[in-house]
Amino acid sequence: MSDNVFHVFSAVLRKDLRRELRSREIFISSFLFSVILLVIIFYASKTSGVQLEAMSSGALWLCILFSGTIGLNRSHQSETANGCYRALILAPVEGGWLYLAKVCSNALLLIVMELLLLPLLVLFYHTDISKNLGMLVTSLALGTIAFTAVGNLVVVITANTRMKDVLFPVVQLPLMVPTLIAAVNATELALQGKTPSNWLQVLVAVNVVFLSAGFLLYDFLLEE
Amino acid sequence: MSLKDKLLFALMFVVMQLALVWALAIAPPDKLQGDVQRIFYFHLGSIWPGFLAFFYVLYGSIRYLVSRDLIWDRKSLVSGEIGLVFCSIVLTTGPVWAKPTWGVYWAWDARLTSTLVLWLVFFFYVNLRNYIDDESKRPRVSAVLGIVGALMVPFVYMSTRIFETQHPKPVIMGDADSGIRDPNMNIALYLSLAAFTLLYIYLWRLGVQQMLTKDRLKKLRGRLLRLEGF
Repeated sequence: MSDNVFHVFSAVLRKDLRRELRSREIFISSFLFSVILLVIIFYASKTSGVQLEAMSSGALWLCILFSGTIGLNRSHQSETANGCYRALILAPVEGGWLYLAKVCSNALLLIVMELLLLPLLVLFYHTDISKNLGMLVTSLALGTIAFTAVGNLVVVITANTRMKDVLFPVVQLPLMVPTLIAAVNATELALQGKTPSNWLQVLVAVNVVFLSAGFLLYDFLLEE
Repeated sequence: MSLKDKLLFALMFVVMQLALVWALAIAPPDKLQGDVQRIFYFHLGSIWPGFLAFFYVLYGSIRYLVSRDLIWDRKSLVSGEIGLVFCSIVLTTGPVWAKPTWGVYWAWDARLTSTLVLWLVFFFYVNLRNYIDDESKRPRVSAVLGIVGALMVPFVYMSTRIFETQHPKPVIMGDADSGIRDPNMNIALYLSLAAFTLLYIYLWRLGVQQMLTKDRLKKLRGRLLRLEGF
């Protein structure tokens, strides 16, 4: 059983990453979307007189949230084409492992995108990211995993509805608010060179709760 | 309406009148806030059954996924609908109190934000099923969303302790420096908590009966159509 679990988990993970490496469609579109968002956020908040540096954590998380939502939607759509989902359901393991593999692959892609966005923050927003790089990466990683943990559940929930493309972001974003508050504050403190232990605890709690919920509930969503 | 429901209604009616009298007449006005504070009895009175309703959604959804008995789907749906109404009462009484006390109707405070988020999540829980065409999937998908949504409730409650907030501290089971000193205020609070909880139970029982009658009617109509040869 444990062998099976590992095989299926790594197969799904490798399949997702390989597909993305070959087509790069999700990555390129969401990365470019993030760059445009950075520009838009700058001009939208320029008149309010907020310091550029103080805005960077919020701007970064807005990019992650919106481009991540696009990415998750696209990644799920590619599964539904040609009945790929049915093949996935046939995998000889509990659905929970498929869910974890999907969370891992989506989180990995998003984290890579975030690492590419950081130099852009330095360039556009004059942010100093070197003050507490370890904590910065930890906050980004924990927030991203929490984001994909909730997102991968909601994308399958809304996939059963008539207006899935509209409903996915609409249902997903309210569920993201606690994660977003914790992640923005953690990132902000890490950028200031502090250790955001309180916020990281919240993020860990969100991760534990939603990863376990997703692991247990995914099977029910996959039923035909 | 069964005898149980009638008794429940009578009890709710009496408690609700008592709560009104105590909250509006007997309890003294707040020293700092004046009469505005009286809305608090209804504000807290509604958030409690609101939270209760959402926990019932969690419980009912889990029961449904385990047993696949449609009655649990109906029970949690009705609970979610009533919870949504109570949550709306909280979101409207809050600003009415906040304007004279804080000077603004709305502040981006953690407790306010999370109650709004909760309202949104349960709005989708109640309404998402209308967008699912496949009737066999409807209860299953809603149950999963109900569980995910209800898991947010603890984060909402924790928010007053973790986040910096200007929302008043919890008066029940709060810190030593918060709470109510006047006994009549306490009586008014507990009476309104009881009144709103009874209202929730009463509405929930009515709602479930209505849902089951609707299901039965649908089944009967289907059978009738088949008998008539359509």
